[in-house]
Amino acid sequence: MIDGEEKKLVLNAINGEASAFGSLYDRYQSKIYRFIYLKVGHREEAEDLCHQVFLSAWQNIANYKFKGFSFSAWIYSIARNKIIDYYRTKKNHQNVDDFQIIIDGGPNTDLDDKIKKENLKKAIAKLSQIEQDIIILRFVEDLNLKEAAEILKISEILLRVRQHRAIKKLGKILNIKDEK
Amino acid sequence: MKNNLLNNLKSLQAIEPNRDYSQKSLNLILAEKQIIEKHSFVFTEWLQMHKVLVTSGVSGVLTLVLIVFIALSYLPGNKNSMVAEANDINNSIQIRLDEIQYHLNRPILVSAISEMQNDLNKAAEELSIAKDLNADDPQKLEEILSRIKNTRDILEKINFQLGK
Repeated sequence: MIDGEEKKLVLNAINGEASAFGSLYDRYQSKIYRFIYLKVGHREEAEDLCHQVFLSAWQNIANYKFKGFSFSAWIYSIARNKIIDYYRTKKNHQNVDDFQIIIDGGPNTDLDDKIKKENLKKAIAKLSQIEQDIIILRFVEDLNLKEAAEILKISEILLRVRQHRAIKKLGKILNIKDEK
Repeated sequence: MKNNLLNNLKSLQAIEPNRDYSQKSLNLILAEKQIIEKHSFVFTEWLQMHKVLVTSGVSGVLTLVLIVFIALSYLPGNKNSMVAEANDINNSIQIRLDEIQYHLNRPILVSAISEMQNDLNKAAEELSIAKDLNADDPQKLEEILSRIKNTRDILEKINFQLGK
Protein backbone atom coordinates (compact mmCIF):
# COMPACT_ATOMS: atom_id res chain seq x y z
CA MET A 1 0.00 0.00 0.00
CA ILE A 2 1.37 3.36 -0.93
CA ASP A 3 0.26 6.39 1.04
CA GLY A 4 -0.75 9.62 -0.69
CA GLU A 5 2.30 11.60 0.28
CA GLU A 6 4.69 8.89 -0.84
CA LYS A 7 2.81 8.47 -4.10
CA LYS A 8 3.26 12.18 -4.80
CA LEU A 9 6.99 11.95 -4.05
CA VAL A 10 7.36 8.95 -6.32
CA LEU A 11 5.51 10.68 -9.17
CA ASN A 12 7.70 13.76 -8.81
CA ALA A 13 10.82 11.62 -8.70
CA ILE A 14 9.70 9.83 -11.88
CA ASN A 15 9.43 13.29 -13.46
CA GLY A 16 13.05 13.87 -12.55
CA GLU A 17 12.64 15.95 -9.42
CA ALA A 18 15.81 15.35 -7.40
CA SER A 19 14.39 16.72 -4.15
CA ALA A 20 11.50 14.23 -4.33
CA PHE A 21 13.96 11.39 -4.71
CA GLY A 22 15.95 12.86 -1.83
CA SER A 23 12.86 12.60 0.38
CA LEU A 24 12.35 8.99 -0.63
CA TYR A 25 16.02 8.36 0.09
CA ASP A 26 15.58 9.78 3.59
CA ARG A 27 12.54 7.54 4.14
CA TYR A 28 14.15 4.30 3.08
CA GLN A 29 17.88 4.62 3.40
CA SER A 30 18.16 3.48 7.04
CA LYS A 31 15.85 0.52 6.44
CA ILE A 32 17.67 -0.61 3.32
CA TYR A 33 21.05 -0.12 4.97
CA ARG A 34 19.94 -2.16 7.99
CA PHE A 35 18.53 -4.88 5.79
CA ILE A 36 21.77 -5.15 3.84
CA TYR A 37 24.03 -4.85 6.88
CA LEU A 38 22.27 -7.66 8.74
CA LYS A 39 22.73 -9.87 5.69
CA VAL A 40 26.29 -9.08 4.62
CA GLY A 41 27.67 -8.38 8.09
CA HIS A 42 30.17 -5.70 7.13
CA ARG A 43 29.60 -1.97 7.44
CA GLU A 44 31.63 -0.71 4.48
CA GLU A 45 30.22 -3.32 2.15
CA ALA A 46 26.73 -2.54 3.39
CA GLU A 47 27.34 1.15 2.63
CA ASP A 48 28.57 0.34 -0.89
CA LEU A 49 25.65 -1.92 -1.63
CA CYS A 50 23.19 0.57 -0.19
CA HIS A 51 24.67 3.26 -2.44
CA GLN A 52 24.29 0.94 -5.45
CA VAL A 53 20.66 0.22 -4.56
CA PHE A 54 19.68 3.88 -4.50
CA LEU A 55 21.76 4.72 -7.54
CA SER A 56 19.98 1.96 -9.44
CA ALA A 57 16.63 3.18 -8.11
CA TRP A 58 17.30 6.77 -9.24
CA GLN A 59 18.55 5.69 -12.66
CA ASN A 60 15.57 3.41 -13.25
CA ILE A 61 12.80 5.28 -11.48
CA ALA A 62 11.21 6.11 -14.81
CA ASN A 63 10.50 2.37 -15.17
CA TYR A 64 8.62 2.15 -11.87
CA LYS A 65 4.86 1.82 -12.23
CA PHE A 66 2.14 1.88 -9.58
CA LYS A 67 0.64 -1.41 -10.67
CA GLY A 68 -0.20 -2.64 -7.16
CA PHE A 69 3.49 -2.99 -6.37
CA SER A 70 4.49 -0.52 -3.70
CA PHE A 71 7.59 1.62 -3.90
CA SER A 72 8.80 -0.05 -0.71
CA ALA A 73 8.55 -3.50 -2.31
CA TRP A 74 10.32 -2.20 -5.42
CA ILE A 75 13.28 -0.78 -3.56
CA TYR A 76 13.62 -3.84 -1.33
CA SER A 77 13.60 -5.98 -4.50
CA ILE A 78 16.52 -3.97 -5.84
CA ALA A 79 18.32 -4.49 -2.53
CA ARG A 80 17.73 -8.23 -2.59
CA ASN A 81 19.02 -8.45 -6.15
CA LYS A 82 22.14 -6.46 -5.30
CA ILE A 83 22.82 -8.83 -2.40
CA ILE A 84 22.42 -11.84 -4.69
CA ASP A 85 24.93 -10.29 -7.11
CA TYR A 86 27.23 -9.53 -4.18
CA TYR A 87 27.24 -13.17 -3.09
CA ARG A 88 27.86 -14.31 -6.65
CA THR A 89 31.05 -12.28 -6.89
CA LYS A 90 32.22 -12.81 -3.34
CA LYS A 91 34.07 -16.10 -2.86
CA ASN A 92 33.07 -16.64 0.74
CA HIS A 93 29.86 -15.76 2.41
CA GLN A 94 30.00 -13.18 5.16
CA ASN A 95 32.40 -13.83 7.94
CA VAL A 96 30.35 -13.66 11.09
CA ASP A 97 33.40 -12.38 12.92
CA ASP A 98 33.22 -9.26 10.76
CA PHE A 99 30.08 -8.12 12.47
CA GLN A 100 30.79 -4.83 14.14
CA ILE A 101 28.89 -3.49 17.07
CA ILE A 102 27.49 -0.40 15.39
CA ILE A 103 24.83 0.44 17.91
CA ASP A 104 25.82 3.65 19.58
CA GLY A 105 24.67 3.03 23.08
CA GLY A 106 26.92 5.64 24.67
CA PRO A 107 29.04 5.09 27.78
CA ASN A 108 26.12 3.86 29.91
CA THR A 109 25.01 1.05 27.57
CA ASP A 110 25.00 -2.33 29.19
CA LEU A 111 27.91 -4.41 27.88
CA ASP A 112 25.78 -7.54 28.22
CA ASP A 113 23.21 -5.89 25.99
CA LYS A 114 25.84 -5.23 23.34
CA ILE A 115 27.06 -8.81 23.49
CA LYS A 116 23.47 -10.10 23.23
CA LYS A 117 22.92 -8.02 20.10
CA GLU A 118 26.23 -9.19 18.65
CA ASN A 119 25.22 -12.82 19.21
CA LEU A 120 21.82 -12.14 17.71
CA LYS A 121 23.36 -10.74 14.54
CA LYS A 122 25.66 -13.73 14.26
CA ALA A 123 22.70 -16.07 14.75
CA ILE A 124 20.74 -14.32 11.98
CA ALA A 125 23.74 -14.82 9.70
CA LYS A 126 23.43 -18.58 10.19
CA LEU A 127 19.91 -18.65 8.73
CA SER A 128 19.17 -19.22 5.04
CA GLN A 129 18.77 -16.15 2.84
CA ILE A 130 14.98 -16.30 2.81
CA GLU A 131 14.85 -16.89 6.57
CA GLN A 132 17.07 -13.86 7.12
CA ASP A 133 14.80 -11.76 4.90
CA ILE A 134 11.73 -12.85 6.85
CA ILE A 135 13.31 -12.20 10.25
CA ILE A 136 14.62 -8.78 9.23
CA LEU A 137 11.48 -7.57 7.45
CA ARG A 138 8.94 -8.92 9.95
CA PHE A 139 10.71 -8.62 13.27
CA VAL A 140 13.41 -5.97 12.87
CA GLU A 141 11.66 -3.61 10.45
CA ASP A 142 8.23 -4.52 11.83
CA LEU A 143 6.54 -4.76 8.44
CA ASN A 144 3.10 -6.32 8.42
CA LEU A 145 2.39 -9.66 6.74
CA LYS A 146 1.03 -8.06 3.60
CA GLU A 147 4.01 -5.73 3.07
CA ALA A 148 6.57 -8.46 3.78
CA ALA A 149 4.79 -10.97 1.53
CA GLU A 150 4.78 -8.44 -1.30
CA ILE A 151 8.52 -7.84 -0.97
CA LEU A 152 9.32 -11.54 -0.75
CA LYS A 153 6.89 -12.38 -3.55
CA ILE A 154 5.20 -15.14 -1.57
CA SER A 155 1.67 -15.55 -0.20
CA GLU A 156 0.84 -14.38 3.30
CA ILE A 157 -0.04 -17.96 4.27
CA LEU A 158 3.36 -19.23 3.17
CA LEU A 159 5.01 -16.33 4.94
CA ARG A 160 3.29 -17.23 8.21
CA VAL A 161 4.58 -20.79 7.97
CA ARG A 162 8.09 -19.75 7.10
CA GLN A 163 8.34 -17.05 9.74
CA HIS A 164 7.29 -19.53 12.40
CA ARG A 165 10.05 -21.87 11.27
CA ALA A 166 12.59 -19.06 11.04
CA ILE A 167 11.90 -17.84 14.58
CA LYS A 168 12.06 -21.37 15.91
CA LYS A 169 15.38 -21.98 14.14
CA LEU A 170 16.79 -18.70 15.39
CA GLY A 171 15.76 -19.56 18.93
CA LYS A 172 17.39 -22.91 18.60
CA ILE A 173 20.66 -21.38 17.36
CA LEU A 174 20.73 -18.98 20.27
CA ASN A 175 19.88 -21.68 22.78
CA ILE A 176 22.69 -23.84 21.52
CA LYS A 177 25.10 -20.96 21.91
CA ASP A 178 23.76 -20.21 25.41
CA GLU A 179 24.21 -23.77 26.54
CA LYS A 180 27.86 -23.56 25.60
CA MET B 1 11.75 -16.55 25.88
CA LYS B 2 10.14 -15.87 22.54
CA ASN B 3 9.04 -12.40 23.64
CA ASN B 4 12.59 -11.69 24.73
CA LEU B 5 13.86 -12.78 21.31
CA LEU B 6 11.31 -10.63 19.50
CA ASN B 7 12.21 -7.62 21.66
CA ASN B 8 15.88 -8.17 20.96
CA LEU B 9 15.20 -8.36 17.23
CA LYS B 10 13.28 -5.12 17.34
CA SER B 11 16.15 -3.45 19.17
CA LEU B 12 18.29 -3.99 16.05
CA GLN B 13 16.38 -1.04 14.58
CA ALA B 14 19.00 1.04 16.33
CA ILE B 15 21.45 0.10 13.55
CA GLU B 16 21.85 3.21 11.44
CA PRO B 17 24.19 4.24 8.65
CA ASN B 18 26.78 6.92 9.20
CA ARG B 19 25.19 10.35 8.60
CA ASP B 20 28.12 11.77 6.63
CA TYR B 21 28.20 8.73 4.38
CA SER B 22 24.44 8.99 3.80
CA GLN B 23 24.63 12.62 2.70
CA LYS B 24 27.65 12.04 0.44
CA SER B 25 25.99 8.99 -1.08
CA LEU B 26 22.85 10.94 -1.95
CA ASN B 27 24.83 13.82 -3.46
CA LEU B 28 26.83 11.41 -5.62
CA ILE B 29 23.71 9.59 -6.77
CA LEU B 30 21.94 12.77 -7.83
CA ALA B 31 25.07 14.14 -9.50
CA GLU B 32 25.83 10.94 -11.44
CA LYS B 33 22.51 10.84 -13.21
CA GLN B 34 22.86 14.47 -14.21
CA ILE B 35 26.32 13.79 -15.71
CA ILE B 36 25.08 10.77 -17.67
CA GLU B 37 22.10 12.71 -19.01
CA LYS B 38 24.27 15.71 -19.89
CA HIS B 39 26.80 13.63 -21.81
CA SER B 40 24.12 11.56 -23.45
CA PHE B 41 22.62 14.83 -24.64
CA VAL B 42 26.04 16.11 -25.79
CA PHE B 43 26.80 12.91 -27.70
CA THR B 44 23.38 12.91 -29.35
CA GLU B 45 23.90 16.57 -30.29
CA TRP B 46 27.36 15.71 -31.69
CA LEU B 47 25.83 12.95 -33.74
CA GLN B 48 23.13 15.33 -35.02
CA MET B 49 25.78 17.90 -35.99
CA HIS B 50 27.77 15.27 -37.83
CA LYS B 51 24.68 13.73 -39.38
CA VAL B 52 25.99 14.53 -42.85
CA LEU B 53 29.23 12.73 -42.10
CA VAL B 54 27.45 9.74 -40.62
CA THR B 55 24.82 9.57 -43.38
CA SER B 56 27.34 9.96 -46.18
CA GLY B 57 29.53 7.39 -44.47
CA VAL B 58 26.69 4.91 -44.40
CA SER B 59 25.77 5.60 -48.03
CA GLY B 60 29.43 5.35 -49.01
CA VAL B 61 29.76 1.98 -47.35
CA LEU B 62 26.71 0.61 -49.08
CA THR B 63 27.77 2.01 -52.49
CA LEU B 64 31.27 0.65 -52.14
CA VAL B 65 30.03 -2.76 -51.17
CA LEU B 66 27.71 -2.75 -54.17
CA ILE B 67 30.58 -1.76 -56.52
CA VAL B 68 32.82 -4.42 -55.04
CA PHE B 69 30.01 -6.95 -55.30
CA ILE B 70 29.47 -6.21 -59.01
CA ALA B 71 33.19 -6.01 -59.78
CA LEU B 72 33.90 -9.27 -58.04
CA SER B 73 31.18 -11.05 -59.96
CA TYR B 74 33.25 -10.51 -63.16
CA LEU B 75 36.52 -11.67 -61.72
CA PRO B 76 37.93 -15.14 -62.29
CA GLY B 77 39.50 -17.17 -59.52
CA ASN B 78 38.22 -16.86 -55.96
CA LYS B 79 35.32 -14.66 -57.01
CA ASN B 80 32.57 -16.76 -55.37
CA SER B 81 34.09 -16.56 -51.92
CA MET B 82 34.80 -12.82 -52.26
CA VAL B 83 31.28 -12.16 -53.48
CA ALA B 84 29.84 -14.07 -50.53
CA GLU B 85 32.13 -12.23 -48.16
CA ALA B 86 31.14 -8.81 -49.54
CA ASN B 87 27.48 -9.75 -49.14
CA ASP B 88 28.02 -10.84 -45.55
CA ILE B 89 29.83 -7.62 -44.70
CA ASN B 90 27.01 -5.56 -46.17
CA ASN B 91 24.41 -7.40 -44.09
CA SER B 92 26.39 -7.19 -40.89
CA ILE B 93 27.01 -3.46 -41.31
CA GLN B 94 23.28 -2.91 -41.75
CA ILE B 95 22.56 -4.86 -38.58
CA ARG B 96 25.20 -2.92 -36.62
CA LEU B 97 23.78 0.41 -37.76
CA ASP B 98 20.27 -0.63 -36.74
CA GLU B 99 21.50 -1.70 -33.31
CA ILE B 100 23.41 1.56 -32.81
CA GLN B 101 20.28 3.51 -33.69
CA TYR B 102 18.37 1.54 -31.03
CA HIS B 103 21.02 2.04 -28.35
CA LEU B 104 21.29 5.80 -28.88
CA ASN B 105 18.00 6.23 -27.06
CA ARG B 106 19.43 4.76 -23.88
CA PRO B 107 21.68 6.49 -21.29
CA ILE B 108 25.34 6.18 -22.28
CA LEU B 109 28.22 5.79 -19.86
CA VAL B 110 30.31 8.94 -19.57
CA SER B 111 33.57 7.04 -20.06
CA ALA B 112 32.37 5.46 -23.29
CA ILE B 113 31.35 8.68 -25.08
CA SER B 114 34.76 10.09 -26.05
CA GLU B 115 35.96 6.65 -27.09
CA MET B 116 32.90 6.25 -29.33
CA GLN B 117 33.58 9.64 -30.90
CA ASN B 118 37.14 8.56 -31.72
CA ASP B 119 35.88 5.30 -33.15
CA LEU B 120 33.39 7.08 -35.39
CA ASN B 121 36.17 9.30 -36.72
CA LYS B 122 38.26 6.21 -37.45
CA ALA B 123 35.34 4.56 -39.23
CA ALA B 124 34.88 7.69 -41.36
CA GLU B 125 38.59 7.72 -42.19
CA GLU B 126 38.55 4.07 -43.32
CA LEU B 127 35.62 4.81 -45.61
CA SER B 128 37.31 7.90 -47.00
CA ILE B 129 40.44 5.92 -47.90
CA ALA B 130 38.37 3.12 -49.43
CA LYS B 131 36.42 5.60 -51.53
CA ASP B 132 39.61 7.12 -52.92
CA LEU B 133 40.90 3.75 -54.07
CA ASN B 134 40.19 2.75 -57.65
CA ALA B 135 37.55 0.01 -57.59
CA ASP B 136 38.26 -0.81 -61.25
CA ASP B 137 41.72 -1.96 -60.31
CA PRO B 138 41.44 -5.64 -59.26
CA GLN B 139 44.49 -5.30 -57.03
CA LYS B 140 42.82 -2.51 -55.05
CA LEU B 141 39.62 -4.48 -54.54
CA GLU B 142 41.05 -6.54 -51.74
CA GLU B 143 42.22 -3.41 -49.98
CA ILE B 144 38.77 -1.84 -50.38
CA LEU B 145 37.20 -4.95 -48.90
CA SER B 146 39.65 -4.84 -46.03
CA ARG B 147 38.83 -1.16 -45.29
CA ILE B 148 35.12 -1.91 -45.31
CA LYS B 149 35.69 -4.80 -42.89
CA ASN B 150 37.58 -2.44 -40.60
CA THR B 151 34.60 -0.07 -40.66
CA ARG B 152 32.28 -2.92 -39.77
CA ASP B 153 34.51 -3.96 -36.87
CA ILE B 154 34.58 -0.41 -35.54
CA LEU B 155 30.78 -0.16 -35.74
CA GLU B 156 30.57 -3.48 -33.90
CA LYS B 157 32.81 -2.09 -31.17
CA ILE B 158 30.61 1.02 -30.83
CA ASN B 159 27.52 -1.15 -30.70
CA PHE B 160 29.07 -3.27 -27.96
CA GLN B 161 29.93 -0.17 -25.91
CA LEU B 162 26.43 1.21 -26.28
CA GLY B 163 24.94 -2.08 -25.31
CA LYS B 164 26.77 -2.19 -21.95
